[in-house]
Amino acid sequence: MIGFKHSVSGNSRAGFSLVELMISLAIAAVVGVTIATVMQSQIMLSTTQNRNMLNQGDLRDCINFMTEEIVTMGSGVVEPYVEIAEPGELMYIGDLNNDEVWERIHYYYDASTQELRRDLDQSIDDGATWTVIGTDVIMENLDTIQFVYFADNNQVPLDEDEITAVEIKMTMDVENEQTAFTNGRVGGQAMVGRMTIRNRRMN
Amino acid sequence: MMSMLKKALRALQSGSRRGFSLIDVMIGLVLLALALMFGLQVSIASSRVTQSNMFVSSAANLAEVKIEELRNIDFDLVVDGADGAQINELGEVGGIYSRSWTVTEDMPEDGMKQVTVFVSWQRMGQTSTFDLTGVIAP
Repeated sequence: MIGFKHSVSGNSRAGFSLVELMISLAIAAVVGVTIATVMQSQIMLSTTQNRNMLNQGDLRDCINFMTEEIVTMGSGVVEPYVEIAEPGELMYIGDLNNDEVWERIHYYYDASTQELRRDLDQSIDDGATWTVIGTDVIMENLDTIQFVYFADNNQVPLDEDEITAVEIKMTMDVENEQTAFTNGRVGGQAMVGRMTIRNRRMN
Repeated sequence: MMSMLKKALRALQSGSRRGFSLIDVMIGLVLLALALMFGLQVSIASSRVTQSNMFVSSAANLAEVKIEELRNIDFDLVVDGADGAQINELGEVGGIYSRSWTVTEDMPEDGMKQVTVFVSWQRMGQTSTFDLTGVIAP
């Protein structure tokens, strides 16, 4: 450590010697790289977690939305019933705004766009003809969705008329990678929700 | 740090052109590293909280689903119970959540049943539990 001796001896006018400069640069580089590596992995972790939390929030919102809509439709003036009950789609007929006019909602999964869509139709002639009110995407980046139907006592229903409850299982797409720092919804999340369905054809 | 300041001061006063020594640089770097590591600790702690919140949220969901499930069965069949195996976020076998439920009869009114669902899970050696209470009427 010649350079070191130089500077403490006090008589030298020099700042760093070349050796000192190189050593300090090397130390700075090692410390810098270590810190950068740790920080980067920490940022990645917190970004992923952030996205997971957003995903979870979206899943919850979606399940809450469907639960509320199905309960509202079932409690209207029109006696409600289930029209289609498939693992990937659910069609339910009832009265959404309690005005004695029939409404029909149709939730279905579009695998090509990974979206859960909702069609809302209305019928002024008690279900003979239907007019489209609107069609929406209520959930994006869905990897899988499964509607599971239950009859009384959580038995497997023999047909639509026996259904008294539905469980919705959704998982978000992990593959759908977007840029790390956008609001891209990456990161796998899964959620299940369950709702009781009022079914007039059930006995 | 003090030696650096003193040196800088002395340099100004005396017109000396002496620079930092290696030891100054090393002390400076160590201090810098310590400060950054402290900042990192804060961010690690906050991401731990985020993560544990997500587990709580999943557990709450599983508890809600169980209460809805019990609503759909004959009132007489609503009794204490537990899942046979640990479940995942979707309620399927093979996760980290254990779920059990207890039923108190004639609560809060005669003829009703008060159900409390407990969902517990283990993470980093710590067991956490979430419980949710609901009332089922015949």
